Amino acid sequence: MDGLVTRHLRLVFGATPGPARIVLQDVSAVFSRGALALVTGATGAGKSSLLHLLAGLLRPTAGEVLADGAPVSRWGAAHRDRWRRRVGIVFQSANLFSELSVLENVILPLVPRSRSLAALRAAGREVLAELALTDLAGAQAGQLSGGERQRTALARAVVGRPDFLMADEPTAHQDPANAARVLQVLAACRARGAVVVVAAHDPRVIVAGVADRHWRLAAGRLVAE
Amino acid sequence: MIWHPLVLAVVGLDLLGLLALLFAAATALQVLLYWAPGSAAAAQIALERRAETAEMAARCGFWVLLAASLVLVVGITNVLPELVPGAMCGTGVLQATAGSGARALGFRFGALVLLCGWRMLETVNRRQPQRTLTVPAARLLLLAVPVALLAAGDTLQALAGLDVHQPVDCCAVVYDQFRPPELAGGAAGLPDRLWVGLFALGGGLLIALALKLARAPDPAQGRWPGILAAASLLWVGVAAVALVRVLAAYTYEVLHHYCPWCLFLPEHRFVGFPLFGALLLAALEGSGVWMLALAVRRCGLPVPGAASRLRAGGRRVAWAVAVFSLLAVVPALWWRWRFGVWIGG
Repeated sequence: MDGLVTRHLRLVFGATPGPARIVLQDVSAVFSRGALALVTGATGAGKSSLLHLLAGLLRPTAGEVLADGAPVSRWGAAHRDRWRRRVGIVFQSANLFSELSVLENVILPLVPRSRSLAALRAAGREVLAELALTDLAGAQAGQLSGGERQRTALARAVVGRPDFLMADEPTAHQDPANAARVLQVLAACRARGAVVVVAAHDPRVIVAGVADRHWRLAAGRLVAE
Repeated sequence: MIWHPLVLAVVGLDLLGLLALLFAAATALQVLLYWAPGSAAAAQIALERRAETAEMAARCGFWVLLAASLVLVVGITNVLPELVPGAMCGTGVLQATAGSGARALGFRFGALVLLCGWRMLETVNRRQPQRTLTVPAARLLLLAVPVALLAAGDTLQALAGLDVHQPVDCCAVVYDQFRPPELAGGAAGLPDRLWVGLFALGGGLLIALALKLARAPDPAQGRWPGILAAASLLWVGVAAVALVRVLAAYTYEVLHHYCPWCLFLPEHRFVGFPLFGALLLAALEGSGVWMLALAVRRCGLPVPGAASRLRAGGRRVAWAVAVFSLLAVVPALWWRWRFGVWIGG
């Protein structure tokens, strides 16, 4: 089956010392290609953990994640690493390299694809323009504001035209104009057939109506809204 | 026990390798008992993670054991003879170990053959996301670990019991100049000419067989991998006898010096290392090819990458045979060209 499918996912953190914390349990869902899924839930509900599982950054305690029918969550590290080249992710805390410039941060995912530096820069500038970051291309990432950092992280996630895009609070710290730009970029990814999963608190994402499917995480379980 | 740095290095490396192998073997046992690839239950997911870690540990154990074996051979041939009175090469050193040294080398060879087969399986297994060869690889690892334990135990016994006070009669064993030449005419009751003939004919056939496997469209099928394994192990034995009985004489430039260990000495340009290294490679790759082909056939699923590894195994066997033959035969041909006769007439 095309897209991302989760089957009875269960994630438990920290068994030693102290009690284990069940973050997710029995999460079964289908995230289709060309659709944008919105995941909401209270702080600590496990939204970020779910995105990390979908992106192959975490391994589930039980259950599996299937990408286009393949059980990627159970693959060995080398195979998962290769598969992750098809995944773009926006972390909640952006996770940029503060010593590098904005443009350098953005083109990082393209480096292993053996393209010329000029081509990489051109691709990076194109995405930065879509997110109104052209003027900041040469600025150090460590000097950016929260909103700029988050947009740079989104630019880095989409520059490689990923098949699967996970975005954790992508509209955080954005003014209305920039939030609209962010949603436009997400919609463009959906339009070219990518699986887009957005975890958000921001009511603007819900109000904008960009989501094709809305899920809510509560007590570790995913419920369709 | 002597506290020579080389002895400590061998014992230390053996211990390290064994720890890694035992850690991996514990997981391999669980794999044999509980592996259920169709299930995504917590126990299976945890086992998959452990199997991945165990594979790295066993790989590390293999390389450490190989390194320990190399250090041991360097010690036996070039370091320990200085400590054992009367020893001029490895023969004297092995004499001073009262039999456990030769046994340790035998077990080491066995462990390396099995571990090399495991490594071949695991290399192919690692290339496919579903890891279909996990169970046969675990089985092979469990077979190899006891042999590695015996090898390490015998090595420790040999090194601990190495007698550096009692003189040995090194050359009396292999280079008995007082023995009548008619008694020194052959090994296992066969004349030396026959050993050389078998070596030459077998080497040619083995290269042809290895290249046939290297070009086969589906090398895992049919009897060829099994035949290659048997032929390479057999040829390695024949080649070693032919080398010691006949061809080494052209390196030593003296008759009736039937010693394999002197070939490792600096006066003979350490030629024993590439010679016996090539034999080891032929044995490891030849038997590994059979183990991999057997696992692939039994698993009944398509195993991408297995065919290319089997073909590479065939090519490596052919290369090993060619390199050994070249190194062993060139001194004889050079002698014949220089003096117009073969040693011994």
